[in-house]
Amino acid sequence: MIAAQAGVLFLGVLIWWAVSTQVPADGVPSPVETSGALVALAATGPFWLAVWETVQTFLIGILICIIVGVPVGLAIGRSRLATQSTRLSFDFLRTIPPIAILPLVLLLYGPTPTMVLVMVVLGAIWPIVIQSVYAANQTEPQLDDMARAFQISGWRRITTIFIPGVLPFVLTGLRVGTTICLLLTITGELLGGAPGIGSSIITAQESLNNPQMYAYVVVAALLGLIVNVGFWAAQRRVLHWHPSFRGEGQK
Amino acid sequence: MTTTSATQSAPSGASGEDRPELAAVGLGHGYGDNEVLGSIDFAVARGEFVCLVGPSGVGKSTLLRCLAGLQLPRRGSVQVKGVDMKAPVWGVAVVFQDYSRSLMPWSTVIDNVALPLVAAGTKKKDARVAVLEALEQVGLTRDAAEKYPWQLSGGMQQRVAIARALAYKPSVVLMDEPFASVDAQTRADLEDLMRELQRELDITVVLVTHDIDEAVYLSDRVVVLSGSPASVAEIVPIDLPRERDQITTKATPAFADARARIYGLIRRVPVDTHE
Repeated sequence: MIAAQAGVLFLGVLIWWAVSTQVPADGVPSPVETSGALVALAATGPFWLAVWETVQTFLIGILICIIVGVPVGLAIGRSRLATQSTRLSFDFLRTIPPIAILPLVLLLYGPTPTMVLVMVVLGAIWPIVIQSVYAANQTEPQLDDMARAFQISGWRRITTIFIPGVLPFVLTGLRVGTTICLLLTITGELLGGAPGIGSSIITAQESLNNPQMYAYVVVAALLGLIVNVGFWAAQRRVLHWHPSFRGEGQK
Repeated sequence: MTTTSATQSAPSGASGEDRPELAAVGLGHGYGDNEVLGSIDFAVARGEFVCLVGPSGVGKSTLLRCLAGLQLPRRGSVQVKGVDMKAPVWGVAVVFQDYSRSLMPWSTVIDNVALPLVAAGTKKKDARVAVLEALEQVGLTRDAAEKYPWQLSGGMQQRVAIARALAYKPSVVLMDEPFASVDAQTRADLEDLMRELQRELDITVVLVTHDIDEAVYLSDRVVVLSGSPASVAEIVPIDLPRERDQITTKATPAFADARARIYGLIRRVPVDTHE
């Protein structure tokens, strides 16, 4: 499996290299040039500062999304009335492209991390809220009966029955939300000019340093990969009992 | 004055012994305009094994939910040792039909069985002892105790659900079609297990089933429900020895008589075996 993935990756780099030889000079730097630029960048302070700005905004953003989105979604999902009465509003809000509110937040906060953060939260929170609503809607009624029959109530019922039961759906929402969060962080920096990987891409482009620009793009992709692989591993650990992960841990 | 305090301080006296362990008193229930249960009256004595049978859709499961306190009846009441039941009470345990959904897949067998005890404030160590004892009673090994429910066969999972009920040290166990989704051999094993446990632990069992053979084989008495809204058509005493066997008992004339009589009651066909 890993060999197949490495093979596809290698093929991708090969295509990149082939393209770089065909387009006019400097349009697309070759993989070798780009890695050279990346290595050079990795030795500089501003590079790591940019990475840190992006990671920081991303982490704060996803944290706010989780702290607000999950409890709100679960609370709404517990009530039929709340679920039905909010559905239309959520569908309306989640279809607004987050980029569309960029001019507004830029006007309010200027090219700052706060501006990016507001945009990120407004864009990434919806899948988390909506999946949490589903999660609370789909709890197992037999387990609810069991809890009542055996008089398991209060905090214990929440921690031993409710939370594990909603976790599969909530984590699906978090996975989607996390990816959106990272994409929007970089987009916000890129279009709004807040410090981070996004604005570094623009700076490199404006100084006509294409290899460096591509180096930053590669860093953004690597960041996404790390986040996704990390999330997948965490999800597999937490949901080892779930039908979609069963058997993987006990070979 | 003295008489009042005497009766209050001695509920386990002569009058307490006479009280049925569990009783439905003029119990009626429905959903919206649909009246499911008309007026159900029956009482189960301590240590009795009673099955509720009736055609599908007659409201057996609704009745069991009322008996468990999971649903408040519209009319009448459920009484546990003479006291009206308003909500699930300690001492009445339930085994649900669908073991795969009533056990928590994220907890090991041991944690599943221990949860009601731990929730009731039993110390972890004491709970573990009670849980291991209950698992042994239903024939599950230590090895199975450490597994997750979905790693076990259907029959074993239902044993886990039974163990969970037993660990709770109930006086009454309510079972809703507990053996409906296991194969025939496992079903026979579980039936024998339940009879054995019921006598050994001196518990009262009320079991809902649509299977008349199962009801006759298990019961001391069978409550037959029929009609819409449902009422008790008859309570059929089962004249079989305490020691029963899947093959020989089912071949006796008494077994065949009881089965024919209940079958007739459900089908509303008059059967004159005892006239």
